[in-house]
Amino acid sequence: MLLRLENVTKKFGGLTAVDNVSLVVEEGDSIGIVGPNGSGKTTLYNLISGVYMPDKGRIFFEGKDITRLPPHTRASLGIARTFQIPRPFGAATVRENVAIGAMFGRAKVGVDEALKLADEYLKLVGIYDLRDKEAKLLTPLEKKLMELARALAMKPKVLLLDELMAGMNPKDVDRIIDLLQKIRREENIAVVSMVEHLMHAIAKFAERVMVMHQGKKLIEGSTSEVLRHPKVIEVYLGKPIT
Amino acid sequence: MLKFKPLVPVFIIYIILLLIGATIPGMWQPIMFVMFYIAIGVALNNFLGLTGYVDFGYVAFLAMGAYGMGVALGYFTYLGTLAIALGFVLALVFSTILCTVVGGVALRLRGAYFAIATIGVNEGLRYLIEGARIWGGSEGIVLSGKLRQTFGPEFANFLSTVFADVCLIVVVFIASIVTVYLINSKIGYALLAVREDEDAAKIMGINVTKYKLIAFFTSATIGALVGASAWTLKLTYVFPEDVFFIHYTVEAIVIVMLGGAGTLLGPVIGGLLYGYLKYYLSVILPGFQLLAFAPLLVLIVVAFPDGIVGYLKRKLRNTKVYEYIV
Repeated sequence: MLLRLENVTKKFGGLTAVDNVSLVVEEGDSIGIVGPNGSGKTTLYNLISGVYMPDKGRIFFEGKDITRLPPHTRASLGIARTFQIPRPFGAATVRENVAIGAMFGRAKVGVDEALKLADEYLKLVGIYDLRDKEAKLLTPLEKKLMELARALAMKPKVLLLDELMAGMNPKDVDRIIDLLQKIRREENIAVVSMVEHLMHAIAKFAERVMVMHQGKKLIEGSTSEVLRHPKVIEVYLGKPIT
Repeated sequence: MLKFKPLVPVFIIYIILLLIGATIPGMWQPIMFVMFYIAIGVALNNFLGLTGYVDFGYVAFLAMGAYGMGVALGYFTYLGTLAIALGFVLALVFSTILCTVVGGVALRLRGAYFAIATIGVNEGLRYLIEGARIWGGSEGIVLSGKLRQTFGPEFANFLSTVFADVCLIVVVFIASIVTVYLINSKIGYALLAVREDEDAAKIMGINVTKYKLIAFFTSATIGALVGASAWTLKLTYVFPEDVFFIHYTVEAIVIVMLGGAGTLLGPVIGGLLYGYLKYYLSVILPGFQLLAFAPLLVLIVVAFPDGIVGYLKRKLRNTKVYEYIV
Protein backbone atom coordinates (compact mmCIF):
# COMPACT_ATOMS: atom_id res chain seq x y z
CA MET A 1 0.00 0.00 0.00
CA LEU A 2 1.55 3.25 -1.14
CA LEU A 3 -0.78 5.86 0.31
CA ARG A 4 -3.59 5.30 2.77
CA LEU A 5 -6.00 7.83 4.21
CA GLU A 6 -7.84 6.60 7.26
CA ASN A 7 -11.06 8.41 8.22
CA VAL A 8 -9.57 11.83 7.57
CA THR A 9 -11.55 14.89 8.68
CA LYS A 10 -10.72 18.58 8.28
CA LYS A 11 -12.87 21.41 9.60
CA PHE A 12 -12.61 25.13 8.95
CA GLY A 13 -14.66 26.70 11.72
CA GLY A 14 -18.17 25.36 11.29
CA LEU A 15 -17.52 23.96 7.83
CA THR A 16 -16.40 20.38 7.48
CA ALA A 17 -14.39 20.52 4.28
CA VAL A 18 -13.35 16.89 4.35
CA ASP A 19 -15.57 14.55 6.30
CA ASN A 20 -14.35 11.11 7.33
CA VAL A 21 -12.74 10.21 4.01
CA SER A 22 -10.69 7.05 3.51
CA LEU A 23 -8.74 6.23 0.39
CA VAL A 24 -6.11 3.72 -0.67
CA VAL A 25 -3.64 4.33 -3.49
CA GLU A 26 -1.46 1.45 -4.71
CA GLU A 27 1.75 1.77 -6.71
CA GLY A 28 1.12 2.61 -10.33
CA ASP A 29 -2.56 3.25 -9.67
CA SER A 30 -4.60 5.63 -11.73
CA ILE A 31 -7.31 7.23 -9.67
CA GLY A 32 -9.74 9.98 -10.51
CA ILE A 33 -11.22 12.19 -7.83
CA VAL A 34 -14.39 13.79 -9.04
CA GLY A 35 -16.71 16.28 -7.47
CA PRO A 36 -18.29 19.68 -7.88
CA ASN A 37 -16.72 22.93 -6.72
CA GLY A 38 -16.49 23.00 -2.91
CA SER A 39 -16.78 19.25 -2.47
CA GLY A 40 -13.46 19.08 -0.59
CA LYS A 41 -11.17 17.83 -3.34
CA THR A 42 -8.50 20.50 -2.97
CA THR A 43 -8.62 20.26 0.82
CA LEU A 44 -8.03 16.54 0.48
CA TYR A 45 -4.91 17.26 -1.61
CA ASN A 46 -3.76 19.80 0.93
CA LEU A 47 -4.10 17.16 3.64
CA ILE A 48 -2.09 14.64 1.64
CA SER A 49 0.67 17.07 0.71
CA GLY A 50 0.86 18.49 4.22
CA VAL A 51 -0.43 22.02 3.76
CA TYR A 52 -3.00 21.22 6.47
CA MET A 53 -2.98 18.69 9.27
CA PRO A 54 -6.24 16.75 9.63
CA ASP A 55 -8.41 17.25 12.70
CA LYS A 56 -9.15 13.57 12.80
CA GLY A 57 -7.88 10.47 11.08
CA ARG A 58 -4.43 9.41 9.94
CA ILE A 59 -2.44 9.34 6.72
CA PHE A 60 0.10 6.63 5.92
CA PHE A 61 2.70 6.56 3.16
CA GLU A 62 4.49 3.27 2.52
CA GLY A 63 3.30 2.09 5.92
CA LYS A 64 4.74 5.14 7.70
CA ASP A 65 2.45 7.52 9.58
CA ILE A 66 2.90 10.91 7.90
CA THR A 67 -0.11 12.64 9.46
CA ARG A 68 2.03 15.18 11.30
CA LEU A 69 4.98 15.45 8.93
CA PRO A 70 5.74 18.83 7.30
CA PRO A 71 5.17 19.21 3.53
CA HIS A 72 8.86 19.14 2.57
CA THR A 73 9.39 15.79 4.28
CA ARG A 74 6.40 14.32 2.44
CA ALA A 75 7.84 15.60 -0.82
CA SER A 76 11.13 13.86 -0.01
CA LEU A 77 9.23 10.62 0.58
CA GLY A 78 7.69 10.86 -2.87
CA ILE A 79 4.51 12.93 -2.84
CA ALA A 80 4.32 15.52 -5.62
CA ARG A 81 1.47 17.71 -6.76
CA THR A 82 0.42 20.44 -9.13
CA PHE A 83 -1.88 23.34 -8.29
CA GLN A 84 -5.25 24.24 -9.77
CA ILE A 85 -4.03 27.81 -10.17
CA PRO A 86 -0.41 27.25 -11.15
CA ARG A 87 2.22 28.50 -8.72
CA PRO A 88 5.39 28.94 -10.69
CA PHE A 89 8.53 30.50 -9.23
CA GLY A 90 7.87 33.54 -11.41
CA ALA A 91 11.26 35.20 -11.59
CA ALA A 92 13.05 31.92 -12.29
CA THR A 93 13.27 30.50 -15.80
CA VAL A 94 11.12 27.55 -16.81
CA ARG A 95 14.22 25.36 -16.74
CA GLU A 96 15.16 26.52 -13.24
CA ASN A 97 11.63 25.84 -12.03
CA VAL A 98 11.81 22.23 -13.16
CA ALA A 99 15.41 21.89 -11.91
CA ILE A 100 14.27 22.97 -8.44
CA GLY A 101 11.89 20.01 -8.52
CA ALA A 102 14.79 17.66 -9.26
CA MET A 103 17.11 19.25 -6.68
CA PHE A 104 14.65 18.77 -3.86
CA GLY A 105 11.63 16.47 -4.02
CA ARG A 106 12.60 12.80 -3.84
CA ALA A 107 15.27 12.97 -6.55
CA LYS A 108 17.62 15.36 -4.68
CA VAL A 109 20.28 15.58 -7.38
CA GLY A 110 23.00 18.24 -7.67
CA VAL A 111 22.53 21.53 -9.48
CA ASP A 112 24.19 20.54 -12.78
CA GLU A 113 22.40 17.22 -13.05
CA ALA A 114 19.10 18.87 -12.09
CA LEU A 115 19.42 21.35 -14.96
CA LYS A 116 20.11 18.47 -17.35
CA LEU A 117 17.13 16.50 -16.03
CA ALA A 118 14.99 19.61 -16.36
CA ASP A 119 15.67 19.66 -20.10
CA GLU A 120 14.52 16.06 -20.39
CA TYR A 121 11.28 16.66 -18.55
CA LEU A 122 10.60 19.82 -20.54
CA LYS A 123 10.98 17.81 -23.74
CA LEU A 124 8.68 15.15 -22.30
CA VAL A 125 5.82 17.57 -21.64
CA GLY A 126 6.58 19.49 -24.84
CA ILE A 127 7.65 22.95 -23.66
CA TYR A 128 11.41 22.62 -24.15
CA ASP A 129 11.40 25.68 -26.43
CA LEU A 130 10.25 27.83 -23.53
CA ARG A 131 13.05 26.77 -21.19
CA ASP A 132 14.83 30.14 -20.94
CA LYS A 133 11.68 32.17 -20.48
CA GLU A 134 10.80 33.64 -17.11
CA ALA A 135 8.06 31.40 -15.72
CA LYS A 136 5.72 34.31 -14.97
CA LEU A 137 5.58 35.10 -18.70
CA LEU A 138 4.03 31.75 -19.63
CA THR A 139 0.37 31.34 -20.53
CA PRO A 140 -1.76 29.57 -17.89
CA LEU A 141 -1.67 26.42 -19.98
CA GLU A 142 2.10 26.49 -20.35
CA LYS A 143 2.37 27.06 -16.62
CA LYS A 144 0.35 23.89 -16.03
CA LEU A 145 2.64 21.88 -18.27
CA MET A 146 5.64 23.37 -16.47
CA GLU A 147 4.15 22.33 -13.14
CA LEU A 148 3.69 18.81 -14.47
CA ALA A 149 7.35 18.72 -15.54
CA ARG A 150 8.40 20.15 -12.18
CA ALA A 151 6.37 17.56 -10.28
CA LEU A 152 7.74 14.72 -12.42
CA ALA A 153 11.30 15.96 -11.91
CA MET A 154 10.80 15.36 -8.19
CA LYS A 155 10.71 11.62 -9.01
CA PRO A 156 7.54 11.08 -7.00
CA LYS A 157 5.88 7.79 -6.16
CA VAL A 158 2.48 9.42 -6.18
CA LEU A 159 1.56 12.37 -8.34
CA LEU A 160 -1.45 14.48 -7.37
CA LEU A 161 -2.86 16.45 -10.29
CA ASP A 162 -5.23 19.30 -9.54
CA GLU A 163 -7.42 20.12 -12.55
CA LEU A 164 -4.39 19.68 -14.76
CA MET A 165 -6.36 19.20 -17.95
CA ALA A 166 -9.02 21.86 -17.36
CA GLY A 167 -8.92 24.41 -20.13
CA MET A 168 -6.84 22.28 -22.47
CA ASN A 169 -8.03 21.52 -25.96
CA PRO A 170 -9.02 17.88 -26.66
CA LYS A 171 -5.78 17.23 -28.52
CA ASP A 172 -3.67 18.35 -25.58
CA VAL A 173 -5.86 16.36 -23.19
CA ASP A 174 -5.19 13.21 -25.24
CA ARG A 175 -1.48 13.96 -25.38
CA ILE A 176 -1.28 14.47 -21.60
CA ILE A 177 -3.29 11.30 -20.95
CA ASP A 178 -0.89 9.33 -23.15
CA LEU A 179 2.03 10.89 -21.31
CA LEU A 180 0.59 10.05 -17.90
CA GLN A 181 -0.12 6.46 -18.97
CA LYS A 182 3.47 6.19 -20.16
CA ILE A 183 5.05 7.42 -16.94
CA ARG A 184 2.74 5.19 -14.94
CA ARG A 185 3.91 2.18 -16.90
CA GLU A 186 7.58 3.09 -17.07
CA GLU A 187 8.19 4.57 -13.64
CA ASN A 188 5.34 2.92 -11.75
CA ILE A 189 4.11 6.29 -10.46
CA ALA A 190 0.62 6.35 -9.02
CA VAL A 191 -1.37 9.18 -10.54
CA VAL A 192 -4.28 10.76 -8.72
CA SER A 193 -6.17 13.16 -10.90
CA MET A 194 -8.75 15.59 -9.64
CA VAL A 195 -11.40 16.82 -11.98
CA GLU A 196 -14.50 18.97 -11.80
CA HIS A 197 -15.86 18.71 -15.32
CA LEU A 198 -13.65 16.67 -17.60
CA MET A 199 -15.52 13.38 -17.16
CA HIS A 200 -14.46 12.10 -20.54
CA ALA A 201 -10.79 12.49 -19.66
CA ILE A 202 -11.37 10.67 -16.39
CA ALA A 203 -13.33 7.95 -18.13
CA LYS A 204 -10.42 7.45 -20.48
CA PHE A 205 -7.63 7.72 -17.96
CA ALA A 206 -8.65 6.54 -14.50
CA GLU A 207 -9.09 2.93 -13.48
CA ARG A 208 -10.77 3.85 -10.25
CA VAL A 209 -12.87 6.87 -9.38
CA MET A 210 -13.86 8.43 -6.09
CA VAL A 211 -16.75 10.87 -6.14
CA MET A 212 -16.85 13.54 -3.46
CA HIS A 213 -19.89 15.48 -2.39
CA GLN A 214 -20.02 18.07 0.41
CA GLY A 215 -16.77 16.83 1.91
CA LYS A 216 -17.88 13.21 2.03
CA LYS A 217 -16.96 10.27 -0.12
CA LEU A 218 -20.12 9.62 -2.12
CA ILE A 219 -18.87 6.48 -3.78
CA GLU A 220 -15.68 4.78 -4.88
CA GLY A 221 -15.14 2.00 -7.39
CA SER A 222 -14.08 1.09 -10.89
CA THR A 223 -14.53 3.93 -13.33
CA SER A 224 -17.23 2.36 -15.50
CA GLU A 225 -19.23 1.28 -12.45
CA VAL A 226 -19.06 4.64 -10.72
CA LEU A 227 -19.94 6.74 -13.73
CA ARG A 228 -23.08 4.63 -14.28
CA HIS A 229 -24.13 4.60 -10.66
CA PRO A 230 -27.60 6.13 -10.25
CA LYS A 231 -26.56 8.14 -7.17
CA VAL A 232 -23.69 9.76 -9.07
CA ILE A 233 -25.92 10.54 -12.00
CA GLU A 234 -28.50 12.01 -9.68
CA VAL A 235 -26.31 14.37 -7.63
CA TYR A 236 -23.63 15.14 -10.13
CA LEU A 237 -23.66 14.07 -13.73
CA GLY A 238 -27.28 14.58 -14.74
CA LYS A 239 -26.94 11.93 -17.43
CA PRO A 240 -24.77 8.83 -17.87
CA ILE A 241 -21.33 9.21 -19.42
CA THR A 242 -20.86 7.05 -22.45
CA MET B 1 34.76 27.82 -13.02
CA LEU B 2 32.29 29.32 -15.45
CA LYS B 3 30.00 30.04 -12.56
CA PHE B 4 32.51 32.43 -11.01
CA LYS B 5 32.56 34.70 -14.07
CA PRO B 6 30.15 37.15 -12.41
CA LEU B 7 32.89 37.89 -9.87
CA VAL B 8 34.96 39.53 -12.63
CA PRO B 9 33.06 42.85 -12.86
CA VAL B 10 32.68 42.96 -9.08
CA PHE B 11 36.39 42.48 -8.44
CA ILE B 12 37.25 44.99 -11.18
CA ILE B 13 35.12 47.58 -9.37
CA TYR B 14 36.81 46.80 -6.05
CA ILE B 15 40.29 47.01 -7.54
CA ILE B 16 39.60 50.27 -9.39
CA LEU B 17 38.22 51.78 -6.18
CA LEU B 18 41.24 50.69 -4.19
CA LEU B 19 43.65 51.95 -6.88
CA ILE B 20 41.93 55.34 -6.86
CA GLY B 21 42.20 55.42 -3.09
CA ALA B 22 45.84 54.39 -3.05
CA THR B 23 47.09 56.70 -5.81
CA ILE B 24 45.07 59.91 -5.57
CA PRO B 25 45.97 61.87 -2.44
CA GLY B 26 43.08 62.44 -0.09
CA MET B 27 40.92 59.75 -1.71
CA TRP B 28 41.62 56.84 0.65
CA GLN B 29 39.13 57.90 3.32
CA PRO B 30 36.25 58.60 0.86
CA ILE B 31 36.93 55.24 -0.80
CA MET B 32 36.84 53.43 2.53
CA PHE B 33 33.62 55.28 3.32
CA VAL B 34 32.14 53.87 0.10
CA MET B 35 33.64 50.43 0.84
CA PHE B 36 31.77 50.37 4.16
CA TYR B 37 28.48 50.90 2.35
CA ILE B 38 29.33 48.25 -0.22
CA ALA B 39 30.17 45.91 2.66
CA ILE B 40 26.87 46.33 4.51
CA GLY B 41 25.01 46.06 1.19
CA VAL B 42 26.70 42.81 0.17
CA ALA B 43 26.34 41.43 3.70
CA LEU B 44 22.62 42.19 4.01
CA ASN B 45 21.96 41.08 0.44
CA ASN B 46 22.92 37.54 1.43
CA PHE B 47 19.76 37.55 3.53
CA LEU B 48 17.39 40.25 2.27
CA GLY B 49 18.26 39.74 -1.38
CA LEU B 50 18.25 35.96 -1.34
CA THR B 51 15.22 35.32 0.87
CA GLY B 52 13.11 38.44 0.29
CA TYR B 53 12.74 38.84 4.06
CA VAL B 54 13.33 42.35 5.44
CA ASP B 55 15.36 42.41 8.63
CA PHE B 56 14.98 45.81 10.32
CA GLY B 57 17.23 44.70 13.15
CA TYR B 58 20.15 43.89 10.90
CA VAL B 59 22.49 46.45 12.45
CA ALA B 60 22.37 44.41 15.67
CA PHE B 61 24.70 41.91 13.97
CA LEU B 62 27.19 44.66 13.19
CA ALA B 63 26.81 45.69 16.82
CA MET B 64 27.53 42.13 17.98
CA GLY B 65 30.68 42.16 15.87
CA ALA B 66 31.67 45.56 17.19
CA TYR B 67 31.13 44.41 20.78
CA GLY B 68 32.99 41.15 20.16
CA MET B 69 36.06 43.05 19.07
CA GLY B 70 35.47 45.73 21.72
CA VAL B 71 35.25 43.21 24.57
CA ALA B 72 38.39 41.40 23.38
CA LEU B 73 40.45 44.57 23.04
CA GLY B 74 39.00 46.26 26.10
CA TYR B 75 39.00 43.41 28.63
CA PHE B 76 41.71 41.11 27.27
CA THR B 77 44.19 43.75 26.11
CA TYR B 78 46.98 41.90 27.96
CA LEU B 79 46.82 39.14 25.33
CA GLY B 80 48.53 41.52 22.90
CA THR B 81 47.94 40.81 19.23
CA LEU B 82 46.11 37.63 20.20
CA ALA B 83 43.35 39.88 21.52
CA ILE B 84 42.61 40.93 17.92
CA ALA B 85 42.17 37.30 16.86
CA LEU B 86 40.04 36.76 19.95
CA GLY B 87 38.07 39.84 18.89
CA PHE B 88 37.10 38.26 15.58
CA VAL B 89 36.23 35.00 17.33
CA LEU B 90 34.03 36.79 19.85
CA ALA B 91 32.44 38.82 17.05
CA LEU B 92 31.41 35.54 15.41
CA VAL B 93 30.32 33.97 18.69
CA PHE B 94 28.13 36.93 19.69
CA SER B 95 26.52 37.23 16.28
CA THR B 96 25.93 33.47 16.09
CA ILE B 97 24.21 33.49 19.48
CA LEU B 98 21.96 36.38 18.43
CA CYS B 99 21.40 34.74 15.06
CA THR B 100 20.31 31.46 16.63
CA VAL B 101 17.92 33.16 19.04
CA VAL B 102 16.38 35.56 16.51
CA GLY B 103 16.48 33.12 13.60
CA GLY B 104 15.09 30.20 15.54
CA VAL B 105 12.10 32.22 16.71
CA ALA B 106 11.47 35.01 14.21
CA LEU B 107 12.24 33.15 10.97
CA ARG B 108 9.13 31.08 11.53
CA LEU B 109 7.18 34.28 10.98
CA ARG B 110 6.24 35.41 7.51
CA GLY B 111 7.19 38.60 5.69
CA ALA B 112 5.93 41.67 7.53
CA TYR B 113 5.64 39.88 10.89
CA PHE B 114 9.29 38.97 10.68
CA ALA B 115 10.23 42.58 9.88
CA ILE B 116 8.31 43.88 12.89
CA ALA B 117 9.79 41.30 15.23
CA THR B 118 13.33 42.21 14.21
CA ILE B 119 12.90 45.93 14.98
CA GLY B 120 12.15 44.95 18.56
CA VAL B 121 15.27 42.80 18.82
CA ASN B 122 17.60 45.66 17.89
CA GLU B 123 16.08 48.21 20.26
CA GLY B 124 15.64 45.67 23.06
CA LEU B 125 19.25 44.61 22.89
CA ARG B 126 20.47 48.20 23.00
CA TYR B 127 18.39 49.02 26.08
CA LEU B 128 19.50 45.79 27.71
CA ILE B 129 23.16 46.75 27.31
CA GLU B 130 22.54 50.32 28.45
CA GLY B 131 20.15 49.51 31.29
CA ALA B 132 21.96 46.48 32.72
CA ARG B 133 25.28 48.30 32.31
CA ILE B 134 26.78 45.43 30.32
CA TRP B 135 30.21 46.18 28.83
CA GLY B 136 30.25 49.71 30.17
CA GLY B 137 26.55 50.32 29.53
CA SER B 138 25.79 53.58 27.79
CA GLU B 139 29.39 54.75 28.29
CA GLY B 140 30.46 51.99 25.93
CA ILE B 141 33.99 50.71 25.53
CA VAL B 142 36.76 53.22 24.76
CA LEU B 143 39.91 51.58 23.50
CA SER B 144 42.33 54.22 22.26
CA GLY B 145 44.18 54.66 25.57
CA LYS B 146 44.48 50.93 26.26
CA LEU B 147 45.65 50.20 22.72
CA ARG B 148 48.34 52.87 22.91
CA GLN B 149 49.52 51.55 26.30
CA THR B 150 49.69 47.94 25.21
CA PHE B 151 50.85 48.18 21.59
CA GLY B 152 52.67 51.53 21.59
CA PRO B 153 51.37 54.58 19.70
CA GLU B 154 52.69 53.51 16.31
CA PHE B 155 51.23 50.04 16.20
CA ALA B 156 47.96 51.27 17.72
CA ASN B 157 47.77 53.82 14.95
CA PHE B 158 48.54 51.13 12.35
CA LEU B 159 45.74 48.99 13.76
CA SER B 160 43.09 51.68 13.51
CA THR B 161 44.13 52.86 10.04
CA VAL B 162 45.79 50.33 7.74
CA PHE B 163 44.83 47.10 9.52
CA ALA B 164 41.17 48.03 10.03
CA ASP B 165 40.83 49.02 6.37
CA VAL B 166 42.56 45.87 5.12
CA CYS B 167 40.25 43.75 7.27
CA LEU B 168 37.19 45.45 5.78
CA ILE B 169 38.52 44.99 2.23
CA VAL B 170 39.16 41.30 2.87
CA VAL B 171 35.64 40.92 4.29
CA VAL B 172 34.15 42.61 1.22
CA PHE B 173 36.00 40.26 -1.15
CA ILE B 174 35.04 37.18 0.87
CA ALA B 175 31.42 38.35 1.11
CA SER B 176 31.13 38.57 -2.67
CA ILE B 177 32.63 35.11 -3.14
CA VAL B 178 30.15 33.77 -0.59
CA THR B 179 27.26 35.40 -2.46
CA VAL B 180 28.25 33.88 -5.80
CA TYR B 181 28.68 30.49 -4.16
CA LEU B 182 25.23 30.72 -2.54
CA ILE B 183 23.51 31.86 -5.74
CA ASN B 184 24.94 28.97 -7.76
CA SER B 185 24.44 26.26 -5.18
CA LYS B 186 21.35 24.32 -4.20
CA ILE B 187 20.95 26.84 -1.39
CA GLY B 188 20.54 29.61 -3.96
CA TYR B 189 17.85 27.70 -5.85
CA ALA B 190 16.04 26.85 -2.63
CA LEU B 191 16.04 30.51 -1.65
CA LEU B 192 14.91 31.56 -5.10
CA ALA B 193 11.90 29.31 -4.59
CA VAL B 194 11.30 30.69 -1.09
CA ARG B 195 11.44 34.24 -2.42
CA GLU B 196 8.94 33.53 -5.16
CA ASP B 197 6.43 31.31 -3.37
CA GLU B 198 7.27 29.93 0.03
CA ASP B 199 4.30 27.55 0.21
CA ALA B 200 4.99 26.09 -3.21
CA ALA B 201 8.66 25.75 -2.17
CA LYS B 202 7.63 23.57 0.78
CA ILE B 203 5.54 21.37 -1.47
CA MET B 204 8.59 20.95 -3.74
CA GLY B 205 10.46 19.41 -0.82
CA ILE B 206 12.38 22.45 0.32
CA ASN B 207 12.96 22.75 4.06
CA VAL B 208 12.36 26.49 3.97
CA THR B 209 13.30 27.20 7.60
CA LYS B 210 16.67 25.52 7.12
CA TYR B 211 17.58 27.51 4.03
CA LYS B 212 16.35 30.79 5.49
CA LEU B 213 18.53 30.10 8.54
CA ILE B 214 21.57 29.45 6.33
CA ALA B 215 21.10 32.81 4.60
CA PHE B 216 20.42 34.54 7.91
CA PHE B 217 23.52 33.08 9.49
CA THR B 218 25.76 33.90 6.50
CA SER B 219 24.52 37.46 6.39
CA ALA B 220 24.88 37.90 10.16
CA THR B 221 28.43 36.52 10.17
CA ILE B 222 29.59 38.90 7.45
CA GLY B 223 27.83 41.78 9.21
CA ALA B 224 29.63 40.95 12.45
CA LEU B 225 33.01 40.98 10.69
CA VAL B 226 32.17 44.37 9.15
CA GLY B 227 31.22 45.72 12.59
CA ALA B 228 34.41 44.39 14.16
CA SER B 229 36.69 45.91 11.51
CA ALA B 230 34.99 49.05 10.23
CA TRP B 231 33.73 50.17 13.61
CA THR B 232 35.70 48.88 16.61
CA LEU B 233 39.13 48.51 15.01
CA LYS B 234 38.86 51.68 12.97
CA LEU B 235 37.14 54.01 15.43
CA THR B 236 38.63 52.44 18.61
CA TYR B 237 35.41 52.81 20.57
CA VAL B 238 32.01 51.09 20.85
CA PHE B 239 29.00 53.12 21.95
CA PRO B 240 25.61 51.41 22.07
CA GLU B 241 23.72 54.36 20.58
CA ASP B 242 26.08 54.23 17.58
CA VAL B 243 26.27 50.50 16.91
CA PHE B 244 22.53 49.88 17.36
CA PHE B 245 21.58 52.94 15.28
CA ILE B 246 18.67 51.73 13.10
CA HIS B 247 19.69 54.22 10.42
CA TYR B 248 22.42 51.82 9.25
CA THR B 249 19.85 49.06 8.70
CA VAL B 250 17.74 51.39 6.59
CA GLU B 251 20.80 52.46 4.60
CA ALA B 252 21.72 48.82 3.96
CA ILE B 253 18.16 48.05 2.80
CA VAL B 254 18.22 51.06 0.46
CA ILE B 255 21.56 49.94 -0.98
CA VAL B 256 20.29 46.42 -1.67
CA MET B 257 17.02 47.63 -3.26
CA LEU B 258 18.76 50.34 -5.26
CA GLY B 259 21.38 48.02 -6.72
CA GLY B 260 19.17 44.97 -7.21
CA ALA B 261 18.16 42.50 -4.50
CA GLY B 262 19.42 38.97 -4.86
CA THR B 263 22.08 39.85 -7.41
CA LEU B 264 25.83 39.76 -6.84
CA LEU B 265 26.65 43.04 -8.54
CA GLY B 266 23.59 44.87 -7.19
CA PRO B 267 24.69 45.76 -3.66
CA VAL B 268 28.13 46.69 -5.00
CA ILE B 269 26.67 49.23 -7.42
CA GLY B 270 24.12 50.26 -4.79
CA GLY B 271 26.76 50.78 -2.12
CA LEU B 272 29.00 52.63 -4.53
CA LEU B 273 26.25 55.01 -5.62
CA TYR B 274 24.85 55.47 -2.15
CA GLY B 275 28.22 56.01 -0.46
CA TYR B 276 29.42 58.33 -3.19
CA LEU B 277 26.23 60.41 -3.20
CA LYS B 278 26.12 60.61 0.56
CA TYR B 279 29.75 61.71 0.76
CA TYR B 280 29.61 64.34 -1.95
CA LEU B 281 26.16 65.66 -1.11
CA SER B 282 27.43 66.33 2.39
CA VAL B 283 30.34 68.24 0.84
CA ILE B 284 28.31 70.17 -1.74
CA LEU B 285 25.16 70.71 0.32
CA PRO B 286 26.28 70.38 3.93
CA GLY B 287 23.28 69.92 6.16
CA PHE B 288 20.94 69.41 3.22
CA GLN B 289 22.28 66.07 2.01
CA LEU B 290 19.37 64.09 3.43
CA LEU B 291 16.84 66.47 1.91
CA ALA B 292 18.41 66.12 -1.51
CA PHE B 293 18.94 62.44 -1.01
CA ALA B 294 15.35 61.37 -0.43
CA PRO B 295 13.85 62.57 -3.75
CA LEU B 296 16.89 61.23 -5.58
CA LEU B 297 16.36 57.79 -4.08
CA VAL B 298 12.64 57.89 -4.84
CA LEU B 299 13.47 58.72 -8.43
CA ILE B 300 15.93 55.87 -8.79
CA VAL B 301 13.59 53.34 -7.19
CA VAL B 302 10.72 54.44 -9.43
CA ALA B 303 12.90 54.22 -12.54
CA PHE B 304 14.43 50.86 -11.57
CA PRO B 305 11.95 48.85 -9.49
CA ASP B 306 14.18 45.75 -9.72
CA GLY B 307 17.25 47.79 -8.88
CA ILE B 308 19.86 48.93 -11.32
CA VAL B 309 21.33 45.49 -11.87
CA GLY B 310 17.87 43.93 -12.20
CA TYR B 311 17.20 46.42 -14.97
CA LEU B 312 20.55 45.72 -16.64
CA LYS B 313 19.96 41.98 -16.51
CA ARG B 314 16.68 42.38 -18.36
CA LYS B 315 18.25 44.61 -21.00
CA LEU B 316 21.30 42.44 -21.54
CA ARG B 317 19.55 39.07 -21.74
CA ASN B 318 20.84 37.03 -24.69
CA THR B 319 24.02 39.08 -25.01
CA LYS B 320 27.57 37.98 -24.30
CA VAL B 321 27.96 40.11 -21.18
CA TYR B 322 24.87 38.55 -19.60
CA GLU B 323 26.73 35.74 -17.89
CA TYR B 324 28.99 38.27 -16.18
CA ILE B 325 26.06 40.02 -14.60
CA VAL B 326 24.42 38.08 -11.82
